[in-house]
Amino acid sequence: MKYILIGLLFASQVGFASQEFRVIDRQDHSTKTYYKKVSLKDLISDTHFEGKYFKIVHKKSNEPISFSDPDPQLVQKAANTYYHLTQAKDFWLNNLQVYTPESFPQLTIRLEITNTFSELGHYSHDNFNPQYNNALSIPEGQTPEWVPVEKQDKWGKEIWFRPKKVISTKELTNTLGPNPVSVALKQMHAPFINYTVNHFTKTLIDHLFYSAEMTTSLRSDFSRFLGTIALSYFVVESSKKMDPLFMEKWFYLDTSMVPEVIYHEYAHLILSDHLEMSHSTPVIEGYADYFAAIISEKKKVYAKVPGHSNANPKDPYNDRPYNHMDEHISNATSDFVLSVLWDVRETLGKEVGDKVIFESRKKLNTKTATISHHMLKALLETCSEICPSPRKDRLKLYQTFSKRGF
Amino acid sequence: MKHFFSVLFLFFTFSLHAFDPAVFRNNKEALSRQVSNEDIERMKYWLKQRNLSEEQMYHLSSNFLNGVLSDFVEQDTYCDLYLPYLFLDVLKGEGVVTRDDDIYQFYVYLRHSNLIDDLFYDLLKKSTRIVVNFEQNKNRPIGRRPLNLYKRYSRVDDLEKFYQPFKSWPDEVDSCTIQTYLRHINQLNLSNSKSRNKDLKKLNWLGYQQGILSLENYNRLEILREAYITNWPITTARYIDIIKNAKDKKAIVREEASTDDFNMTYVLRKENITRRGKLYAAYNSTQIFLLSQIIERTAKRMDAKYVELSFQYTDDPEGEGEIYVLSPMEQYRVSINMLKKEIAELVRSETFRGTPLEYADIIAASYETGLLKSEDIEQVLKFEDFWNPKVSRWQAYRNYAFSLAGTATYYLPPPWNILGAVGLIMTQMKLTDKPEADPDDNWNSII
Repeated sequence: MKYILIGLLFASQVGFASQEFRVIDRQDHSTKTYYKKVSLKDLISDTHFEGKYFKIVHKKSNEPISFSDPDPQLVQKAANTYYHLTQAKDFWLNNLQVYTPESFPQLTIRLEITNTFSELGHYSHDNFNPQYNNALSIPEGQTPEWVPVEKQDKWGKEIWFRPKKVISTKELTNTLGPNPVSVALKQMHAPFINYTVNHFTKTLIDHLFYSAEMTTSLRSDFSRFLGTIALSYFVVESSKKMDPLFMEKWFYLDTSMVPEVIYHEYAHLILSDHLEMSHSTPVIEGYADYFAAIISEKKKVYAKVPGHSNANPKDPYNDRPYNHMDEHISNATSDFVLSVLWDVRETLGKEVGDKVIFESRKKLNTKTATISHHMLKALLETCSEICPSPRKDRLKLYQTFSKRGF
Repeated sequence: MKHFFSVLFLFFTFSLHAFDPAVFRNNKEALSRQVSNEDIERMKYWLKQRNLSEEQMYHLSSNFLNGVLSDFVEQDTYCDLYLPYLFLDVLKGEGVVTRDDDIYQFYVYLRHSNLIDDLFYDLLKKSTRIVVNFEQNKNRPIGRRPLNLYKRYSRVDDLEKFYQPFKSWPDEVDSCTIQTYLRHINQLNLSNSKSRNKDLKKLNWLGYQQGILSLENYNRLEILREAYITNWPITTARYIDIIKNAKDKKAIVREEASTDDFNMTYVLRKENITRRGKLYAAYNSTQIFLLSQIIERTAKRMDAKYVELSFQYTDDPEGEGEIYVLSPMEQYRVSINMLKKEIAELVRSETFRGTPLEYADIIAASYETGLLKSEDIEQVLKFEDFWNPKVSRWQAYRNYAFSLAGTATYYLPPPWNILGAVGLIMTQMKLTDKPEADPDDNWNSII
């Protein structure tokens, strides 16, 4: 009896953590990945991926994935997702002192789900616009009363990870903006044309006033300058078609295997008390990116994961100036807001910066928040309330934002 | 000695007035430009000789000073020589200071322990030197007859009238030596201090020779002449005016100690005048208040919760119109532009009458009134870059070199001219700092 009691006590302390799983992690001070074996915390089942905080399910099922599922890749994805969600939860609790995760009921995490989210029925029809290569967090909800009883559904906050699908990058070239060579050449083009025109003007004056001393004819000089200008235009224009040279042929993204994507989606849930998860906007995505970035502690976020993701990473240190198109919903996945928030962190220091950014969510809402107006105002006002030296810190923020072209 | 301080403390405690003497304590100067390390060493040695620890001395000096200054600021006139006479009398009488020169050690102590600031230290030191010299040189024999006695820059013929202000020597209560002397030398109508000094030497000599001045008064006037009082940046009256009416008047919580040495940077290195010294020399308390109000209004504008631009299309205020709400950065830029405009308005005002204002003076004034804290200064100073961006010497040289090289490429034969130009543009792109983002490029902003 005594041994049984001791055994039970021991089991309650360690939970069901004895089984080890292979998960992906990044090396310290590098974005390179490696596999490691870990025990999963807070499990409440010794056979399935069901824990106190997370339940990992397959597609539309409500049953947790089994450790002994016949698909080893699914088991690995489930383990990876569970592990990194736990990491994210612990970071919010211990490093940011945000206790929201403790108030969450068990969250359902869906893997390999291709359905789009429907506010009225949880899932859209299976054949309607299947989704791949991304992830999303959904708010809690339930079907309206007029829906037949057999189709009634009620759900809590969930995270959905789409399956990976390899697609040709040719389909994406129009959406990526100018390539770096084209940008560099374009910068040089204006001064070069200016110089050539000035030079031609000087040569023309020489021909008019000192024609006896000229060794070349006006016609040949004219052709040479015209040819130079034409050549420079040709080089700049052709550089715009060079995208394929800088891109991989195929694109794929298995979101459940990229640690930062998991942190990003979990951040959406934490921030959802004010930034509701109704749709993607540059502000809401930028906030989630920011917290994914500080949890990952890497200089680049969402870096490649061999075999699972070849997406380009986001750069918190990108100092590109503001463009009004950054407000557009099509740029929700750009790293502009992330880099502005990172500037706030650099300006105020890690501790204060993280706190200001987190608290500023209270002054924002998903539907109307713009970067240049509402986000900056929220950050400045929050700084007034919680920065240790409000006036100095606000002025520093103003100067930081000014440098970013706001 | 301890008994003396206790008695003095009680006396002054009971004579305390509404004025808070703590305002004399230095909380605006992060370092001293007046007291050197050697001065401090000498002062410590002096303290040791008197068997007084710094803590004891601090407690006693603080009480003594509080009492003296509370009483002093309530007077109608602030005579420069009043305090040295009082300090010497009391401190010598009680044996704290045995020799006249010892009092300078006491002043060093006061400055070192931040009971006073550099400006007051300098005033006390200079005025004490005059008082000590008055006493030590009252019977000094008259000097040699100055050369070219009757060749003078000024036109003072009636010496009796000229020396009338010193018929009876000021008593430092109803009339002040320094102020009387400044009025007295103004009669010469000479702006050049060298020629004024030469004339005064001759006139003082003549005054004595003609029996208008006693030997003691002649010596006093000679001491005042040698002290170059017109070169003093401030007098005690100006100092007390600012301390009493402007210093820390806008502080919600008075800063204990300064942590920014902006105030102590030299603006006139030759005359050893610091930024704070210049503020006290150039502006009175009202002007300092007005200057700091500019920053106060700017801060309020920046902190405003809501700013809009309102267009009224018709004569009817309730009629058709448009409201544009400014973004935080538009609000920031508007606030700084309005700051610039207000500086211009203040320069044109009756109080300043066209005196050119330096932006740094406005910051110094705001810091003096306690509106700004040490930690704010660095950031607020950057506002000026907004309308007056600074080009570093390196940038200026670099721009000139590129301009020269650009012109030179015109004279290269083709195709080297084109290649040279491309090389130059690439070098320029590499070397030139990335230009700051221009708000004009922001289509989402109107200001």
